[in-house]
Amino acid sequence: MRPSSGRSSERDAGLGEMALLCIDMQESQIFGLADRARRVGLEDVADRYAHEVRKVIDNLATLQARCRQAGLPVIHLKTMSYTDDGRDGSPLFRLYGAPEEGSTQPGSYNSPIIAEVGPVEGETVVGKICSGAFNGSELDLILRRMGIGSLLVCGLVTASCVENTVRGASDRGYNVLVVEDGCTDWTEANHRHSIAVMGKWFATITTTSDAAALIAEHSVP
Amino acid sequence: MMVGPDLARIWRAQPLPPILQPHTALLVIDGDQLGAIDHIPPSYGLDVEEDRIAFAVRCDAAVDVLQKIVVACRSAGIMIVDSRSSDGRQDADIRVMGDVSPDLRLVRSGASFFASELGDQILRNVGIDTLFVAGLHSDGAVASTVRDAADRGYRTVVIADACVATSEDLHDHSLSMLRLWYAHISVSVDLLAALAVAKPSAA
Repeated sequence: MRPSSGRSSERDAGLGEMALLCIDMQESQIFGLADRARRVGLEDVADRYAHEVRKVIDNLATLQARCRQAGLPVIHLKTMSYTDDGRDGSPLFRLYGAPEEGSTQPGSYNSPIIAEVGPVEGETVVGKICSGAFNGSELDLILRRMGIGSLLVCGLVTASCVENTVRGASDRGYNVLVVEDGCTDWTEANHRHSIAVMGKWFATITTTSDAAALIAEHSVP
Repeated sequence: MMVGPDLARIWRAQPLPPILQPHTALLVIDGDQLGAIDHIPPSYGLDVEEDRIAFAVRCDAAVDVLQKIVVACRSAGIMIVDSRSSDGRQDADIRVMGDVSPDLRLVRSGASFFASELGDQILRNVGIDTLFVAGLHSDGAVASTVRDAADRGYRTVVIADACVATSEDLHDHSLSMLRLWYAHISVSVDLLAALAVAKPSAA
């Protein structure tokens, strides 16, 4: 296997518009994962995760504001289920148990996206029934119809839903940029490893400040 | 680091799912490249000679393991799929597959076997629901394939000692992530034992 071809910005010029992908900024991911860590006595993990998530939310809010200002699409992904008991989900998601409306528990499919980084009127929200958005959703079709060729990727959690989505995007020919401080994971090691692997094979790794500058360059007149 | 020298022991503690031959396939990812380590592409980022040698040694070891797995899968009646990202090399084939010709050989266009719908459709038409996955690279095409397989509802078993990455650290951490979310991680000695038991009921 060779690394993703779409890594040079010169080569990618003209591939299509850029969009911001915000992955699973749901209550279940934000509060549920920290709660679960606390319940099994992993206070340190929970505290670190809550602290990192706070930074991710702030960075995402910045990038969303810049994109809206520049006229670039902000697309929200959420974990969800089409059936009441979640039986349509991937095996991993079925393990979590039945979804509860409005619950903050991990894997609660219909948990809402938090308001701070939630969709504003007219923005696209795409539901997915598994980790990677290019498997359990219509995301690929939606992006192609919108003429999107470049993806700025942020969200939760790095080594799972973010990484699966990045791998899928790279395989489908999108130019992928992962915002390093726009995502996090349960542990720093998981986050770092995932960022390293994505940077090695599938994506360009960037930061919130560099991405903000890039958004201005891509702004739609 | 969350994983260490006890990794093999930890992985072996995880029981294999039941092996039902008509519904199980062995996916060999880029076996042609695994068997052709005399040419290491610059994109692997192995700039230091010692790292290249260590990588080649691990590839050789994985090829030895894969040869046994391929033979055992064939005699147990398990479908063998050779998935590659280019047309590959004939001599590399001979190293990995030996005298066994795969049931299916597909050239894929992305890192993941499931990047195109064709592979998925074929596996579902055959009635496959469980995958043994091995090959190159543990953090690259193997991980993409396993993550997609789990998302698409397959049960997946990664054969740890038949997968290789450019560093042992990448291999270990990648497999520990797959184990956390997406796959059973096994080692060849356990899989071969399970296949030997599965053998008598093979058609």
